[in-house]
Amino acid sequence: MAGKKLILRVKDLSVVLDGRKILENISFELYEGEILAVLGPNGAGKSTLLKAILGMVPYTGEVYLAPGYRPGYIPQALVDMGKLPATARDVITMGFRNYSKEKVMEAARKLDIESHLDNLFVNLSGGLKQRTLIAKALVYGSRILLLDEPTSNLDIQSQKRFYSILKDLKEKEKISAIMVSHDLGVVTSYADRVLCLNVRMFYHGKPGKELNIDLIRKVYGHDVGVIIHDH
Amino acid sequence: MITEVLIYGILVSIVSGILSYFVVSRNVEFAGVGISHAAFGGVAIAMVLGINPVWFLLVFTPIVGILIASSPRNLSENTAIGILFPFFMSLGIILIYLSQQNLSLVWSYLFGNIFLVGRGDFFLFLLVGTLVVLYVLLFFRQLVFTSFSRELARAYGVNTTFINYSFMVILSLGIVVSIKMLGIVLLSAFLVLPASISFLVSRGVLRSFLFTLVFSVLMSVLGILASYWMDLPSGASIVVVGTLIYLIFYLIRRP
Repeated sequence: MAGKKLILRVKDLSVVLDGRKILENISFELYEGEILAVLGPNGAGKSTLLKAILGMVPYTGEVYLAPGYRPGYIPQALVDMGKLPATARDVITMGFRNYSKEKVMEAARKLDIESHLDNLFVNLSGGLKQRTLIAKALVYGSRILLLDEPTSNLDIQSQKRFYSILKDLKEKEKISAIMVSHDLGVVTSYADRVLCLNVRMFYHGKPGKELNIDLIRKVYGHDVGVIIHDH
Repeated sequence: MITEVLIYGILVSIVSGILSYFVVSRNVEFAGVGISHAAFGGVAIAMVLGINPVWFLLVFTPIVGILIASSPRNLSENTAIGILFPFFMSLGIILIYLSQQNLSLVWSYLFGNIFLVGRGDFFLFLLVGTLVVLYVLLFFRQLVFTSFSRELARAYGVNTTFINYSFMVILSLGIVVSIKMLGIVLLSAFLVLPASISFLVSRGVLRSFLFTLVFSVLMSVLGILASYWMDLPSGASIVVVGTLIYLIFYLIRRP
C-alpha cells in the first residue's frame, strides 16, 4: 500500500466476553480514504469489532490508530436513548468542549441537515438521525467513521443518499470508514476492501473474484442464498 | 417566618430541579422513588440506634444508590430497586414496631414539613446543595451525553461508569437533605414533576434545563404559599400544585 497513509492497524485482536469467544485473531489494516466492509452473519462479532477499536470492550492484541485519527461511531440505532429533548444541533455538539459554530454549520451543510438542526432528534427519520451522527463525528474531527449496519433501518431512497454521502466524504475529504454490512452488492460497489468474519477471519482483501459464493457459504453457513443486484 | 421558609423552599427546589432534570432524562425515575423509600429503613435504624436520622442517611442512602447502580448486567436497575425499596421499607416498619418509637417523628420523615426545618438542617442542606451544584457544573457535558445515550457517550470516550455511580451518590445525598421539606413519600414527585413539565413544553438541552429549574421553583413557591394561607401540609401542597401545573401544560401543549 505504498503512497497511502496507514491510519488503523488491527493485529491478532481477540475478544472474550462472559467466557465466550466473540472474536479470534483478527488482523487488518485501513488506509486513508478507504472503505472497509465487514461481512458476516449475526453474532459473528462484527459490532464487537467496532467496539474493540473504540475501546468499549476489553480485548487482547493490538489496535493502532494513527495520531490524530479519532474514530467517530455511528451505531445501528440508539436503543438506550433517554427522554432528553435534545435537538439535532444538541446531539452534534453533545459532550464536546471545544467546537465552533462554523464547524457545526459546515458539517450540517455537508450532510444536508441544516434545515433540521433545531428539530428534536427523536422525531427525525432514520436517515436524518444517521446523518446527524455522521455530522457529529465530523465536528469531533473524526477522519475514520465506524458504521454499524448503516443501511439496515433505511428505505431505498435514504440508502442511496447515505452511499452518495459516504462516497463524497471518501473522495473529497479522504475520510475512511469501516462499515458493517450484509449487502454484498454494496460491498462490491463501494468498499475498497472486505473483511469476512465469523468469530475468526475468513477473508481480507479486495472485493474481487475471491469473494465468491463458496466463501460466503463458508462464512454464513451452507444454507445461504446470494442475490446479485446492482448499486 | 414565611420569607425564611420561601428562601429554603426555593433553594431546595433548585437542587431537586437539577436532580429532576437528570432523573427524568436518564429514565431513572424509579431510582428516585426507590432511594427515598429505602431511606425510611435508614430513618428507623437511626432511631433505634439513637442517632440523628439525617446524619445516618447521609451515609446510608448513597450506599443504597451504589447498590442500585451496581446491579448485575442481567438484571436491570429497576429490578434492584424493586428488591431494595420494599426490603428497607419493611425493615423500617419492623424496627419501628419493635422499638415502640414516637410515631409523629416517623410521620414527619414520611410526609415532611418545611415549616419545621431547623437551622442545622438548613446549613447541612447548604453544604450538600453546593456539592450537588458543583458536581453538575463540573460534569454537565458528561451527564447530558450519558443521559442521551450511554453507548454513544462511551464511544466518544466518556467514563460512563464513573458518571453513573457518581450521579447515584449525588442523587442520594440530594434526596436526604430534601426529606425534611417534602418527606420520603412525596419527594419522588419532586424528582419527576419539574423535568416532566419542562419536557412537555421545551426543546433543546439548555432551554429544557432552565425550564426545569423554573417549574421546580414555581411549584415550590406556590405550594408553600398555599400551605401557609390555607394551613395545609407543605409537602402535599407542593406536590398537588406541581401535578396541577403538569396537567395544565399537558392539556394546552401543542399536539
